[in-house]
Amino acid sequence: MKMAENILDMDKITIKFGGLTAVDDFSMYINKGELVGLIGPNGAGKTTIFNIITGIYKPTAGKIVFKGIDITGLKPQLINQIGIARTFQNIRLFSDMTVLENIMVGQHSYFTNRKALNFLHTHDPKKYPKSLWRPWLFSAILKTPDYVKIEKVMKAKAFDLLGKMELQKYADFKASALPYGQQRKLEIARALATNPTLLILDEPAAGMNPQESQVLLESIRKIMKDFSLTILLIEHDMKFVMNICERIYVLDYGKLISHGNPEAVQNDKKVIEAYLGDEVYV
Amino acid sequence: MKKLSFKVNVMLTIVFLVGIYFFLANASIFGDYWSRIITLIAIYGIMAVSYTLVNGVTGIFSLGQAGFIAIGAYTSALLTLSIQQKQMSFFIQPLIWPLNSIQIGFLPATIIGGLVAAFFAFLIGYPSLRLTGDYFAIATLAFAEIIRILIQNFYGLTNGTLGLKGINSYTTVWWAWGWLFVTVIVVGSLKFSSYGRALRAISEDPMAAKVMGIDVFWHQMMAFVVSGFFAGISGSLYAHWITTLDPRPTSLGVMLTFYVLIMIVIGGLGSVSGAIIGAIFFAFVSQWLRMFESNVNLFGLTIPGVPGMSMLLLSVIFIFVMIFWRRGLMGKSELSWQNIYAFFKTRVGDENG
Repeated sequence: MKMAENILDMDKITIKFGGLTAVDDFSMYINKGELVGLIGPNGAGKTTIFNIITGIYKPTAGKIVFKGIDITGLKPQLINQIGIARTFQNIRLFSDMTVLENIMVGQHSYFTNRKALNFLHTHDPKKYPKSLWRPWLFSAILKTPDYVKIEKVMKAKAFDLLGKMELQKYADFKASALPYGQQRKLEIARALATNPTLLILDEPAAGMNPQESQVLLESIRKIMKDFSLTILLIEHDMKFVMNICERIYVLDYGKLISHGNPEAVQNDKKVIEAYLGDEVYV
Repeated sequence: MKKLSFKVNVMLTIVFLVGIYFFLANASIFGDYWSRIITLIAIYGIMAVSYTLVNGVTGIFSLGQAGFIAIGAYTSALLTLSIQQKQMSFFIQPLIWPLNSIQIGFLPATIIGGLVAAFFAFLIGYPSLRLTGDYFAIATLAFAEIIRILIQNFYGLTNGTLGLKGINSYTTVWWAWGWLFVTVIVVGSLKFSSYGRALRAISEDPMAAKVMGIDVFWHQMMAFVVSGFFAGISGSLYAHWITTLDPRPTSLGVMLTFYVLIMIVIGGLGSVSGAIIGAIFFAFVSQWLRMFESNVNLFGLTIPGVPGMSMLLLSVIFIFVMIFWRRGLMGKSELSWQNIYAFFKTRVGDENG
């Protein structure tokens, strides 16, 4: 069965904003453990596709299947709890909170993920047990022993995560006080704190110099192995994309124009046309 | 900077609480007037702390606080009024059935007042929390006003414009400060829990909070309901402090919301200790400024008293505070022994060169 292998399957996704068709009949699949890139000129609809996957936009038509579960039109928080985490193109950290708190916000859904667990339970009762309501809010206010214990475990895990991302020396810093590259890293760490199986990165190397993006490339490879992740990323830095991605989808004006491994995409006439113009005079 | 140990923190807190205890136990030496003001400070404190949970910590701009205070005040007052007093007051239209024949104690009445206010917070929050920003503020302002107008016209339940008189003056210094203590513990504990982090995250970026798996709507609702509960409690205490209730806009209407808003903005949006500092500041300053309503002799110059002068001066003070402390006196941080220690340490360090 093809469906079971694919962690994410987008089937003929179309989204219209008024009269504008931002994404038109777009299909793609991602295998488990793969690193897939999504590229295209500015305004091609790449971020829109990310917003559709994470539930911020509802597609006008089409279907998204994640781990064999139809997630089309679910709320963003539910999709995150089911296992898709993302970062943003323009960094959106909780800038007034400390680095550690930023990570721990990502862990908060441990207390409130009952809806997601019961949603999964209806799909696969054997794998996901039914989740019972627990008065976590009252436990949190009264600081009951079980709450305090979980909070402690969370803190230890958060420090562990910061260690893996080499951010632990900044733990008590405000997120806005970090240098730019570290903020990008922190955003990835915060996404990882939600225990995703699919991580989607919106231009992780934007605004970085070649050395920095090389470091980032290494760390993405490392976390992919450490957390057994599947990654989908948007990137404009072609060297970066060609280096890291196993498969690439190319988007132009909301339409899929090419798809394949980096060499095939690089030599695709349509891709060159989309980036450089109709006819290439050499 | 040296970190104060846990032991030192606990010791200082105990000393502080004992100090407050002795201060309150001897509040009567300041005279009747000032001990009433000390009680009022605690009531304002509860209002401000509950309000800062919504407006500061969660970052949704609600203007409906006075509505919940009014609900709490009326509910508990109707429950504690004696039956004769009710028969005497409700002469246009008799009070409806269950309320006209019951009288319960102050503590259960206060808690019921809080619960009813929390229930109304849920009812109001459910449709209006779908709005954001200014639209939410306007919706809650309108809801608070609807509640006030209902109170004004529902003679069988609230005695309408005649108001409620002869409410027992149960609110002592201990009741008020005891409830303030409970409020601070609950709201503070909530702020510094996983839920509090989620609320602060929502206040900074709701969209990012959503994709981090936080159900923004229900978390905002939770903050709104908890805030409504304590607003109801403060309303009950207020009713039994002032002993008469009426639905004028200046007593339990929009003005009260703005008073509480001034308190939390002066104290620093999102800071529990800042809210209390704001409440103390507001209670003292607004009482002190009342002298400008009558003729004042300043340095041999007689300033004629103008009614409403105190509000004008209060707004001038408010503007000055906003110029010099743009994020309020406390900002978003809390008053802790560590911060006080750090503050004095840097001062001493400066003096030493």
